[in-house]
Amino acid sequence: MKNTIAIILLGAWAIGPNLAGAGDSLPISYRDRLEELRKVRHRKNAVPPTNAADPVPTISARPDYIDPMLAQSWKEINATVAEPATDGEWLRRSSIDLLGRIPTLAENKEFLSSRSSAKRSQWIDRCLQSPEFGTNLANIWMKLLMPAGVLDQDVDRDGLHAWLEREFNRGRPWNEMVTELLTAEGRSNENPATNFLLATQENGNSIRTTSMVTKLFLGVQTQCTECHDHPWNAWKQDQFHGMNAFFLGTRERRATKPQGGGLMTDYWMLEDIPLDQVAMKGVFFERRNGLSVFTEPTYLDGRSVQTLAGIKKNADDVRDYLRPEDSADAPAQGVRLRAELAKAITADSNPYFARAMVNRLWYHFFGHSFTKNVDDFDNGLDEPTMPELLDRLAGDFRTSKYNVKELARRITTTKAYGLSSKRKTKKNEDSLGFFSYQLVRPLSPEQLYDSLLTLTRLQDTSKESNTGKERQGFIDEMLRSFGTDAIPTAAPTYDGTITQSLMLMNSPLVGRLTSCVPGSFLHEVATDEKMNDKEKVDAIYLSALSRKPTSAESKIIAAMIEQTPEDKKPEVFVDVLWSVINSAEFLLNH
Amino acid sequence: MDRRHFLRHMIGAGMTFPMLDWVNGFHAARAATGQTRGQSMILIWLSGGPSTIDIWDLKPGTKNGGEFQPIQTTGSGQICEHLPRLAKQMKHLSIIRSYTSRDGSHERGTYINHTAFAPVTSVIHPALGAVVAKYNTPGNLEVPGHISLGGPGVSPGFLGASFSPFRVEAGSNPIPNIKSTVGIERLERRNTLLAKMQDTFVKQGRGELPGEHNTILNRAQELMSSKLLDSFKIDKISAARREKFGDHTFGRNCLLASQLVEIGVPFIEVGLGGWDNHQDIFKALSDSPRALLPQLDQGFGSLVEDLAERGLLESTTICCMGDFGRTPKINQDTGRDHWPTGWSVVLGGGKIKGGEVVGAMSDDGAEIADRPVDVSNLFATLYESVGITSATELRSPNGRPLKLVGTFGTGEPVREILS
Repeated sequence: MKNTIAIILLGAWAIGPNLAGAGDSLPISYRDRLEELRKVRHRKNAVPPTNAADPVPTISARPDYIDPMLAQSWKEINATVAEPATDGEWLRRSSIDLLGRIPTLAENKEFLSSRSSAKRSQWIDRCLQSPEFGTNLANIWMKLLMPAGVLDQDVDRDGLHAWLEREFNRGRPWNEMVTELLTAEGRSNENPATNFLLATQENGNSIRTTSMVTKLFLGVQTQCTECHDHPWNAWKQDQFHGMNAFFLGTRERRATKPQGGGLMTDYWMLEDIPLDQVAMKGVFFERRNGLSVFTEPTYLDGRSVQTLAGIKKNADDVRDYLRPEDSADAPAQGVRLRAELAKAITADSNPYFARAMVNRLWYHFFGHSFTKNVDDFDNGLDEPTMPELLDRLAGDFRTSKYNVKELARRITTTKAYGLSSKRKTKKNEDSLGFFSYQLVRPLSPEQLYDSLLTLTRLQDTSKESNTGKERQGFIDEMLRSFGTDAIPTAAPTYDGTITQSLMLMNSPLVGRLTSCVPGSFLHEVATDEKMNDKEKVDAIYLSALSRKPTSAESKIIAAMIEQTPEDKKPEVFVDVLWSVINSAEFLLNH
Repeated sequence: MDRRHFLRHMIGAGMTFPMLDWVNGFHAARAATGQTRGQSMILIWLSGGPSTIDIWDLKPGTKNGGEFQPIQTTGSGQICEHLPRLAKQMKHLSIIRSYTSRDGSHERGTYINHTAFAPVTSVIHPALGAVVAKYNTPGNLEVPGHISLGGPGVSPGFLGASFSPFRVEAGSNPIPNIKSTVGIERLERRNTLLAKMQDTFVKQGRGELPGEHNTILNRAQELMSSKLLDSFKIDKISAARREKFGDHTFGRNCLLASQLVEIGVPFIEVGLGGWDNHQDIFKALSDSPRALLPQLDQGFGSLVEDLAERGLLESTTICCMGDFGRTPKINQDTGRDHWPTGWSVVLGGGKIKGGEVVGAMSDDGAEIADRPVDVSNLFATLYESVGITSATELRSPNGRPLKLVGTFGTGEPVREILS
């Protein structure tokens, strides 16, 4: 609560000159602020300019503007800036963020002993070249494109995951990836990109698809406007239904094959019927006052599909009709609705497209985005904390031809990314959204499992028979035991439950991962005759936490070793490893 | 390992533990008054959406009436012939026959009837169980206050992970992973090192998360050594009592729910699935190997009887409902489809009077004819029954005040069934 107001007020400060003149900054009341925002929205005419020459400020190609801009804002809000993270903290964090796992013992040793001044940027480059980078981003995007629980079960999830992995790894421009997801046609088992729409469409109904598309690719939330104009944000009911109408030509068909006496899904077929072959060329929706209104496929900014396809020169002022026949537009021959939608969404002139991805990647690397929720621009309540920086990054992203790796490199090589998560004062919380310290965030189930395997070097036992079965089982179990299965969009909270803690302490899987059997990391350490006990414990800590034990920890462990007969000594190392992986320090990215 | 032993070690390792104080206080309170329970609630959740026109509000002799006949009960309303045990208990239960929940999708119906709110993206509303756990968990309870026995286990939303549904299943291994894989001595030394690491990390000023993790970890460790774990083992209960509840998961879960109420758990959800009967509904309900009504009758009926016999009904509110009701019209596959417009909810115990019938549907069962009760009215009634003021407001993370009773209506409780 306190934070929320702080963000809003600080947001007000940041864009103060636009609102009330440079002299008026803090304090203004919450209500005044809301009023002002509403006025600003109306003045701005609620819709982003699209035909304007260039709505995004001109971009400097120099990459080193992020830190100076952040430093300037810290000065302005009088933020207490955290110390730089230690090399170990930085390595662990960047490894989790970029590769989806903690660093290996060898990586830790090499990085920590290197004296090169360029070692951080070299490490980032190495991560970006690793195939694990694509896997990690695919893990994240799968959860966004196909949230658990609500989607068709028999689409080809693995196919879409592999496609995302490959495209992220080969550096496919983001606009091309999104275009492919939006325009995909064909069989689910042959064209993996079809699976996004196949999963989000509900029996021919595209309400969910529409809200997911605007949220994921544009960072705007339109779902409330399905039923009513939003009281204070920019988005209106007809905009939602205009967007929804772009899926009128989308058809899904299930092909079955006999199995076990019944029929099961063989594949799904996804099509986009050209507009002239679609019977109803728009959708009806009901306004709150009960009036039934008709709208054609119309992009958020008011351009109808005919305008987008270049058939009509100017955007209509009117986009809703009472009856379909009120629209004089001729049906465009061969126009495919989803192709037009994809063009409008990914257009260079669309400021939302680049911003949405920048904001999301920034959120990934800082645990907080420029907005309160990562996918909620122009909600009329909270403005981006640093609009200039966001726009500049967005401009650079566009100039780089939507190069995701380049954007990730730009963000992770900043000093700000390398700040400690130790906050110097309580007051620091007020600067949430200005990134003067790093936020601690929980490891996702995928990151946790992959980190456990990296640490223990015990491969998935079920690999030969059924690839990834144990991994999936672990992830499902973790997800089930989370307090919520919603994907976080705002500042992180701890959602782990008692069930999850019990699982990490006592499950057979963790028992296996912490066992000292030949082939395991622990066995290698325990039987290494070149290391003394202290060095062995150091290796466990370094591997799991990228640091050495503190003197207090060493003392406790030394006592454990001392009280244990020589032949039982491996048990001590098992116990140390168990304690380490159950600690908040291991389970959190910090 | 002995819990006090363990606690001593945690403290020895520098943990500050308010726990020991209340552990001692708890035992003292129990000894002095014999009273450790507050008001509890059991939600019997029929997932898929129960056909209440075939269960609680029969329309015999009409075209929508279906195959079942009504029977007399010990209350004022008649119910389905396949519920003989429940018929004997209806003096303890009231039927709302005019409940409306407006939304016919499983996902949204489950959300609405657990939270009193329609789902939105800006906030996840806390489920009924999380709210009751928040207000009614005795400070000294060693087990989670929100327990799910085969129910959907709806999220605690912004109330946070401490109020998450704790999933348990009645049987030989009720709580997975509850036993340590090593002996007491080794567990002790593991915990000593872990406690030191936690303490160090929590104090490094890295925000709230490390402390939140530690709280949950401590609750889990506490549970591992709790004496209350015995109450989860229903195989120690007398055979006669077990048989009464039936040899099926739902019955066993109902028996476990009764046990958990006794040790003071404020909210337990018991789930029974399979109610999405778009085809062959009458077979599914009464005439198949896993027919639903006999299971419901045995589990739910025995639960009410058991609670009443043991004097626990006055402190235990029971509510039986699902995603929504089903269409009065029988479809071409002899099934019924989704019908949120008007359906029946059964409740009793706590401050709720038994034997009453509230509201009525039209003769064809399609529309509410009398005394509509909406989601807000039902939630207000349930909260009042467990001693939570229904006008209470929570504050969402966005700073918005949210009424416990949601936004579907006036939030007035159904006064005629509250004593």
